[in-house]
Amino acid sequence: MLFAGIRSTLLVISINSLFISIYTKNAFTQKALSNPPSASHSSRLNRKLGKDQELLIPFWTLEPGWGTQLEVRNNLAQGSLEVTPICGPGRVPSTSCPLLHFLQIR
Amino acid sequence: MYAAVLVQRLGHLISFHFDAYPIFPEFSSGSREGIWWLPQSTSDGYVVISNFAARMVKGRLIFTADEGRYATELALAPHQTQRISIRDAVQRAGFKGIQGGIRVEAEADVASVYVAEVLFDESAGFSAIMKVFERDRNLLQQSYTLRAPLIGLATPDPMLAYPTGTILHPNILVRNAADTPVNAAVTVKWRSPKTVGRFPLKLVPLAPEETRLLDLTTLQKDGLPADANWANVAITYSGRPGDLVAIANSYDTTTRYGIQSPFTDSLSFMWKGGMWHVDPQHNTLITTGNAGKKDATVALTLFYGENGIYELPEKTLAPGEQMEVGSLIRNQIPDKKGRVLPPDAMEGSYEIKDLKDTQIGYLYEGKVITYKTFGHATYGCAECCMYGGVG
Repeated sequence: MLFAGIRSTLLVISINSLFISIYTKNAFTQKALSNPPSASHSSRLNRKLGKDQELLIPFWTLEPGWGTQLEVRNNLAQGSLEVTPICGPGRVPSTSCPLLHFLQIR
Repeated sequence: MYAAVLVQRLGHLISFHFDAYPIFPEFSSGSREGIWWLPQSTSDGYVVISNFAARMVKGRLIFTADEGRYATELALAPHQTQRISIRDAVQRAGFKGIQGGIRVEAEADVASVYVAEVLFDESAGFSAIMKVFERDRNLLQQSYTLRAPLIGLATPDPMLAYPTGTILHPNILVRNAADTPVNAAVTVKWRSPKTVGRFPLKLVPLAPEETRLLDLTTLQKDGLPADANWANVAITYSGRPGDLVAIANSYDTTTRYGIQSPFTDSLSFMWKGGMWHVDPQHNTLITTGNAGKKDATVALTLFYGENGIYELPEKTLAPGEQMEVGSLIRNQIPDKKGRVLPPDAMEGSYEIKDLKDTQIGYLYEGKVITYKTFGHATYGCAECCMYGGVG
C-alpha cells in the first residue's frame, strides 16, 4: 500500500507507461449529477459511500526523454484515504509503479 | 479524490494531461467520439485506446472526413493499451483535409474501453489534448449545451506572456457524430480589458459525420473588438450527449503559442481539486460561469501549504469573470477575513461553490496554467462534488 493516510493534500508523484489504476480504500460519496437540461453522461458520479473505488488513467510513459507526474488529491473535508497506484504496461499490472519523484502539496 | 497525470517531453514544449475517471458500468451501449486535427504538415497525433477489462475486447476504430470513412478492426487483449498514429491513419485513408472525426466502437465492455487523443509537433513545439466524448445510446434525446469557459481570442491576454505581436487564430471544431442532421445554436460571450459582449451564431445544420471548423476571427467583421482577449462559448443542440462534439483551439500560425479550452456539459454547485501554480515561470487563471437562470453566490477558496486558506469575498468572482492567482499574491490582496497569500506560496488547489444552490447548481469552471519559459499554456479541470464534505 502506498500513500496511506493522505488527508486534504495533492500528491504529485513523478512516475514512469501505459495505463494507471488508482484504488482508493474506504472512499467517498459523490452525488449523481443530473441537472437537466444539461445532464451530463460524463458526470455520472454515483459512487457509494465507504466502498473501495478505482480511478483509471489511460496513459503514462517513461520512455527515454519523457516523464510523467501523477497528481492525487484527497477531496474529503475530513478523513483519510488509502491510495494504491497500479501501473500496467500490458497484461500484467503491477503495484510497483516506478517512483522518481515525490512532492506533496495541498 | 482527484487524480491526473501530466506526461511531458523533457526539455521540450510537448506536454499532455490525462484525467482519471472511474468506470461507469451504466455506459453499456454506445461509442467514443472525437475529432482529429492536423493543423500543419508536420503535425501528428495518437489515438490511445486502453482496455481495462479482464477479457479481450473487439471493436473498430473509424476515421471520418469529407471523403468518407476508414475503419480498422481492434482486438484489445486484457489490460492492453494500443497507440495509433493519426497521420498514418489519415494517409492510409487518403484523406486530404486537416480535420475529421474519430469513433471507437466496442462489441462489449464499452465502459471499460478508454480512449484519449493527443496531438504534437516537435518541430513547431506544439502539443494539444483532443477531448474524446462518450456517446451513450441509452440516454434521452433532449436539449444539451456544451460550454467552453476560456477560449483565447486573437489578442492574447498579457498574463499568457506570449511574445509581443503574437496573434492567435481561435477556432472551434464541431462534429456531428449522429446519423441525422444536427442543428446547433452557438453563443459567443467575449471579454476585452474594458468591456464585454456577446454574439449569437446560427449554424447551417451539420450533416451526419460532418466536421466543421468555425473561425472565430471572422467575428471581428461583425464587431468583435480586436483587443478582446477571451470568450466563453455555449453550443446548444437537440440529441444525445456525444451526438455533437466540439473542441476549441487558439494557436498562432506556427502553433508554437496557443491555448485550448475544453467543452463540457457538466454543471455543479461545487468544483474542487483543481491545482493552481504561481512562481516566476508559472501563473494561473481561474474562471467560473453560471449557466442557471438565477443568480449564483459564488465563493472561491484557494488552499496552499500545510493549512493555508484564502477565501475571496463572495461574488468577487462574478459569472464569466476571471481571477489571476498571481496578481493576488503580487498585490497582497486581502481575502474576506483579511488574510493574504504569502509571497512564497507557489502551488495548491482550489474550490468553487455556489452558496445559494447547495443541491444541484449550475456552475461551470475553467483554469489555465501558463508556463512562461516555453510560452506554453495548459488547461485543467476540477471535479464536481456535493456538500457535506465529501467528493
